[in-house]
Amino acid sequence: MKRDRASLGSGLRLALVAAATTWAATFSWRDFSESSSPYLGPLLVLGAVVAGTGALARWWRLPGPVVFLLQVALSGMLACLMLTGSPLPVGPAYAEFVNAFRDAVESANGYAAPVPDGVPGIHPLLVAGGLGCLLLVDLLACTLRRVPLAGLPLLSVYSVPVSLLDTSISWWVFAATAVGFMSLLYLHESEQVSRWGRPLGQQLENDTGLGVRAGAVRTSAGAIGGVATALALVVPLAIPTLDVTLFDFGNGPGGDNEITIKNPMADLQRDLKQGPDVPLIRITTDDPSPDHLRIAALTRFSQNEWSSGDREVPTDNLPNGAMPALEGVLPSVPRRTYDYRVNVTEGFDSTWLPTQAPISSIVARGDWRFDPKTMDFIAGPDEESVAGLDYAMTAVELDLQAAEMAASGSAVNEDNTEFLDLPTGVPSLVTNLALGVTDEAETKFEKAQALQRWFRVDGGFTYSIDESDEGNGVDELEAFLDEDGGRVGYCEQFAAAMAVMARVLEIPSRVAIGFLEPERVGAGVFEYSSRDLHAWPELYFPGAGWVLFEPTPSDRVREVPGYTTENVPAAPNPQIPSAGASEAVPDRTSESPSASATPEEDAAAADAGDDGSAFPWLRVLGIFVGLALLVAIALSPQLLRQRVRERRLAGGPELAWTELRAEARDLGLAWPRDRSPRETRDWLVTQLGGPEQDGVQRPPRGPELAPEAVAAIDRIVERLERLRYARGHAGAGVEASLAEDVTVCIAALRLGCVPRVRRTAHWWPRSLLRPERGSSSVPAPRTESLDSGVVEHVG
Amino acid sequence: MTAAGTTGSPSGPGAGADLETLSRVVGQVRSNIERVIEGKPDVVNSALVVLLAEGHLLIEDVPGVGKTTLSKALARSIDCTVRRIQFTPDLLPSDVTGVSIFNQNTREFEFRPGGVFANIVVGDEINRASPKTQSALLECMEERQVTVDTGTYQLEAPFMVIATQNPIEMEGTYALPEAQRDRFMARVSIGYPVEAAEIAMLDSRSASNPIDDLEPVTDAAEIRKLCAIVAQVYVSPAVQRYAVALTGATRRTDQLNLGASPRATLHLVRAAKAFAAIHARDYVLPDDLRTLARPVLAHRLLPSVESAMSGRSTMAILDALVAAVPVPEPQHRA
Repeated sequence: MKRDRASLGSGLRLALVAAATTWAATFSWRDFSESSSPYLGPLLVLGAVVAGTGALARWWRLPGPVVFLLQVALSGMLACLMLTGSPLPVGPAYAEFVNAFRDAVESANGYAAPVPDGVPGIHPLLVAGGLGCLLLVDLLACTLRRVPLAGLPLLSVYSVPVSLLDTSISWWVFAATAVGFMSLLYLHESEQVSRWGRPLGQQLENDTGLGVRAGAVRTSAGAIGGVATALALVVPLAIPTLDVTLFDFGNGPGGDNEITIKNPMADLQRDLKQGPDVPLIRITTDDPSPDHLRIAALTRFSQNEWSSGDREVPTDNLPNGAMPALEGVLPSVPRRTYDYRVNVTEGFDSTWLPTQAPISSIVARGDWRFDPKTMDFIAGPDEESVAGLDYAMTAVELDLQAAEMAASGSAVNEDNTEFLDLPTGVPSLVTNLALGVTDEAETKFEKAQALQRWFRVDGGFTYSIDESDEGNGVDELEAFLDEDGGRVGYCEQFAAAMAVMARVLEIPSRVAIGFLEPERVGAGVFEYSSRDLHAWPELYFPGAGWVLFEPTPSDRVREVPGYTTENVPAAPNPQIPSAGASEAVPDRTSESPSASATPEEDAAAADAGDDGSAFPWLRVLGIFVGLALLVAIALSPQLLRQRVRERRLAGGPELAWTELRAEARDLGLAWPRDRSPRETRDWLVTQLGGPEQDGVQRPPRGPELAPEAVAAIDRIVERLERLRYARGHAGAGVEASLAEDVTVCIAALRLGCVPRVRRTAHWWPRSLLRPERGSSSVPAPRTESLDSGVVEHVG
Repeated sequence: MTAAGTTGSPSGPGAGADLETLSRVVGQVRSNIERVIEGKPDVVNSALVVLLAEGHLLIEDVPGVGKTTLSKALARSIDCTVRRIQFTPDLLPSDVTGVSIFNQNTREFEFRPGGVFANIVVGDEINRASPKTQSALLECMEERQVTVDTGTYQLEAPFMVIATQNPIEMEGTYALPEAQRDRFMARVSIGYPVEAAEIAMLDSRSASNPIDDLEPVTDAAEIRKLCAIVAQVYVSPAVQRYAVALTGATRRTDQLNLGASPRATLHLVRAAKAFAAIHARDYVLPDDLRTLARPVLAHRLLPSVESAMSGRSTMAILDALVAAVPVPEPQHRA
């Protein structure tokens, strides 16, 4: 076959459609980053390069691996040029290359999607991933000619954001990808049919043979496309949610500095500001992501400060086993328990016993007593310290749902009025802000959500431990909340302010002091250090108990509990008659992040429903590798089979005959052994099927159904006989049509089989996977009698 | 003749024309014979195969089915010398071979050729002659020459003996022993005609015997050329191995007391060459051997006592053997 313009044109068309389809699919990644042009632009250019290089190289008849390597090299250099300004990552460009990716990884790790514009972009990762997909799709669809399988990488491109962001993909991205994929299938199949001898769509006199195959092409394209589309909708739902933390940054250095907690709030800032980071508590747990470890709950807000208040602690409330049932939590709330083994260092001196909240059991040595209202543990009269203490507890993780808490009704009852107490003279600023910030929220829970959002995102607050004033009394809060003061503070003020404002809104609240998030130091071993000290508000909602909120901005607290940002369905609530409040709760999480002002706010605003987690890139990688493995496993038999077939078809009558036998074996037909080509031919023609008919369970077989194939078999047999039995071999000129004849025979053989057998033959070719057995049944002999009816002469 | 009958184009440059001539002549002879023997193309084909393979044909069947007619039709279609010998118990060997008689005028012994001196010899009811006479004929068949007294006389090619034999009326006959039957390249039986053919025969024979109207369509010289063409047909080593395997299988089986001889292998291959040439091929296929196994081999085989007692016919044993012998295949490279 010679190289002509037409073949280049058709090859280029297929490659361009493949690249365009992949590019269209990468539009689904727009939500990863605030601006999408930094990766879409380069990917467009890279797509053109991959398609062009591939089409030219294939037209030049370079071997498949060489084509792929050429594409990888060229597009890789171009991508490197785009990212670093140098086509090869050597010298300074290497450092730049590494930095670009390191920054991208850090951004991805540090910010929730969409990653804002102000930080180093994640586009190097997206460009690299997109380029990988471009190369993979081109490899499958154009180089290996396995267009249906190219749907899998396309599917993974599309499923990544669906599974990671839990957001829906624009319908037009899906439609564009699907249309592109269908076009690929159509182009490929029509080219296949034209290779069988006649162009697609050519009118035939009778409606048999190839004319019907055009219909079969449409049917198969439709079937594959339908399956792929269905998979695209289903697979993202079925992908298991891996919870993998990819980037564990190093542990801080240890030290001997002692941290003392006696009066929790007073000690908090001092300890936070204290110089080096000191490991304080080491825990061993089966909880994959332990977080807030509470030291004490502050229940009383006075003019000057939040304090633990007067406690009436019964002397028999000892940590020696099971704890009372969780206060205010409905038994129906789903929950999970984790075992904790806590090891407090000598450097941590506290008269409060740090525990998870809530817990279902605890065993600790010493005179510790718990307050049933707050479930925090205070040392007995001996002022015992936790330093060096080992103890065990079982933490309960509640699966709280925003909707249920929003529907829980009034939070106030006679038991918790003390959690609503406010000193006289709470500034009107605080009250007005509390009401103003939450006036669009319908329920108590949504008001609490609005408060948190305001502190983290909308209010313009800045987290700073150094620039903030100490204290959490009325005056300090007023200064903190006043817009003129710059709204700078640290966790103590955020927690205190939110708790106060919650009380203004008649939501029972308290401030918890404890540790934020430990560092992982080994498998199941975590370490809380002095820098992890933290404060947060806990608000009470009936049915859910004391619920943790996190008003501290994302500089300090990256992740917030899912329920605090979860949308509450805007169900009509007759209990709230206010016209303004009865409006649907605005869907803040779906608002355009560009409306926000700063990167931090954007990151926080996008913490929708995913616990505010950063991108789990390992999950992306895992999905890709898994899909690639699946593709490889699913592809390898048929690819191998295809290669063997191509080699045989180019190898003369003997190999063509072997290919026919292999195909028969693939289709489960018992090819007669040790028979001459003609005898085999007589059997073979009985296995041929005619044009496909709808509604026929078992396709009819017979030579009369496929006269073309019978003629083709006869030609093959004649060439084979000539090769095997004639003097010399005058086969010149006949080989070109041999492959075509074999293809026609194979097509007719397949038509004689039910679709299931055909699929098996395609995906699981037996001729390849299981060696032929040593012997098989010999068919009944068909010798032709020249003297039938002879009378036996027995004289 | 369906599968093996598809035509193939010859490979040699000159072979094409030769095979075309052969096909044309054979076609003419066949259609000539079929004017008198209707509905028996296979039998006619076998006769032509044997003619071109320079063998001898034994036609064995019940009386009145056209054994003699076939012989005569074949003989008349070729413009050559034809003799018919009616074998009877009192027929002497010299009647077959010829005799030297003293010529009073020349005072020398003079050879008077017997019935065997012809291109085609029709030996009617050969089993009625005495073994001695049969032997005289069979020796001529094998050696294609006649030695009487001191003189040796060559028989002119083509030389073909078409012997008929009646298997029913056994009394007073001297059935050909198996060793003698081995001299015949093929044995065929004609069988009764189908109904339509029999009715057509009634019509055509009502006024005159159509065999009288048969005109020769070829001559001895052309047949000699055709035989030379057949001799050129190629038999590949694989097919030779297959032929040997086929006859070898008849020797090894317990079901036969007597298997096919090496001469049978030779006859089989020669017949296959003629068969291939008739089908315009200049090479022999394994299928040709399989097709010819029955007519060429069956009459040479002697079933064992066990087989005979169990009622298994020689044909059935032969068919099973042929089916069991694998056709040699080349080693697969993929």
